[in-house]
Amino acid sequence: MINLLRADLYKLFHTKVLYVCTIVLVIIVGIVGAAFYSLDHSPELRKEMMESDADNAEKDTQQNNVQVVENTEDQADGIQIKVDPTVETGEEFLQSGFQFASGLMGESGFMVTMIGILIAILVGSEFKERTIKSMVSRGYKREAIVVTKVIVSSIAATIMLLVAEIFAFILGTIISGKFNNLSGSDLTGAWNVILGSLLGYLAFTVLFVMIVMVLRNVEMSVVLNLILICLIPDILSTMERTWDIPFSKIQITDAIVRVIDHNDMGHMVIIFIGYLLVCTTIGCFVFKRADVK
Amino acid sequence: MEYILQTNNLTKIYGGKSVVDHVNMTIKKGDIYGFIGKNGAGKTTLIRMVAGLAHPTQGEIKLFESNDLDKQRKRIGTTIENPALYPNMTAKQNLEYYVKLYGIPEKDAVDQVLKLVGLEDTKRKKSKNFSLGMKQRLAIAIALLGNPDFLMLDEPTNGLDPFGIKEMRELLLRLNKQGITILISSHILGELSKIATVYGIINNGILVEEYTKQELEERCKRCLKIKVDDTKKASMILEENFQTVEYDVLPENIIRVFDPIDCSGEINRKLVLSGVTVESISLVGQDLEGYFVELMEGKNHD
Repeated sequence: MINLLRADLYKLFHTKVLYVCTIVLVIIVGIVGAAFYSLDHSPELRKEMMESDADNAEKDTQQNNVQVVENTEDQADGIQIKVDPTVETGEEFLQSGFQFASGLMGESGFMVTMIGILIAILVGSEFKERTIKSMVSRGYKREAIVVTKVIVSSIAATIMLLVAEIFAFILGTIISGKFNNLSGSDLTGAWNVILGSLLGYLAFTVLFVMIVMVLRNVEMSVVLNLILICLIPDILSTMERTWDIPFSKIQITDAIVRVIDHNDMGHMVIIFIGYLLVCTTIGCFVFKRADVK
Repeated sequence: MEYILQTNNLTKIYGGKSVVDHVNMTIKKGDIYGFIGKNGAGKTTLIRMVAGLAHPTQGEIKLFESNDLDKQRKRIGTTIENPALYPNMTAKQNLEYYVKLYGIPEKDAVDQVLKLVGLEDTKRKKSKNFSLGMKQRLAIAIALLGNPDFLMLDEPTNGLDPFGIKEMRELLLRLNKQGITILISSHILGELSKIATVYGIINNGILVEEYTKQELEERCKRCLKIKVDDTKKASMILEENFQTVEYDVLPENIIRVFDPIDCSGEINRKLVLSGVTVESISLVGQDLEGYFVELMEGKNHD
């Protein structure tokens, strides 16, 4: 197991995929930073965006019986779309380096997409290049191989996210001129968002590793990961509303939102451990039974 | 006698079809086992099962006379099908990865095997830019890491030029002399016949025959096949006229002369002049390739 880990870590730092995905994520962070800067320095643009957001929210309310609420702790049935009143009152999007970094961490969309691509290529290439057979043919237990992939993939995802976060912090600090504007409970909340979101992304990572170990194909894994990211939350929400089964409780993105909105770290820890155990077990079970090509 | 590999009724069924069908194979320590079969005969599937890449549908595998296959597989070096390399790494980086994977303590292990397979000058060239022959050499270098006791090489000479094939042959013979047992599958039967000490022939998943080198040479031995009207008289004439004559007599008035075989005209003349009717005289026997082709086509041998 130690040998597997050492070898996989060696491979991680000698292949391009980690560097390429990290650079792409950093570029995206840069684009988001530039967009926030433009919004902060263009009142007309911001007003236009706010009007557009309000229109969309109203349409959603009419079409889906969704309740639009202000930034309160009130709970209501159905999906809540939060409108941050501070923005309307003229507060800046980009207030400090730390605020920008913690805010980005909670933006799960592009982070998860990059993790999905990274893991599919990183682990899937073992099957594409058929290097996985070198591990199996030297007598390593297949369970040990899967666990190693989970650990190394988690390390890779963490490195990628940390680099993006550090870049966001530096960029936010340069643009806003402040590295931190938060204090007290706001600061604790921001740290919780970073740690809670990281746990959520690691839960996604384990899920993606499982998908690769089941499919054993790079291209199919990338496609399925993207489908999973784009469609599954909507499908589960629809199913939840239709059959009244609380799928949202096992959704990672919902758990991240709960950390952001309610500082609910306990739920996130349970989600992470649940995904870790279930996905690793499924990955081991399927890979153990499969013939390796 | 120490056995390196024993299979007992080893079977693999894909989609209802037996790809490997109740194979009982034995490889003894020190053998160079030439594994012969057409494409799709089941060679690679059998090697993959021994390597742990495919699960047998039925049957048993023993490595080094042990059932603890995971432990024993650490003593095996393999190259199966295409070379399994990390394309964005150099030869040295690929080997360093495997040194870590196999837990090899020797610091100069990488340089040793690189030199052994003639890739010490590839430097910063990434393996994705290697020729097939270079990739094949690197795959063999990986298989040799950790001084394995048993090498399983599936078509190792694929993509090698004639010099490479010769070097590979010399390398394998050298390794075998050092005590490494080798299973090698190859379509280049002429090459195989220069190194193998035991042959296994597989067809449609069934291990048709296993021979030692001596047994195969005996089967493939070239001889003059002479059909006469009187074998007794013909035998006397051969013994009287040719001092080194080596022959045997078969049913249906056939004599096989193994030595001399390069004077068929002289033999024919002596027999005819002595009143023996020679109905036919021909040079028969073949190399491994010819023997293999005949066997696959189902022709019988005497």
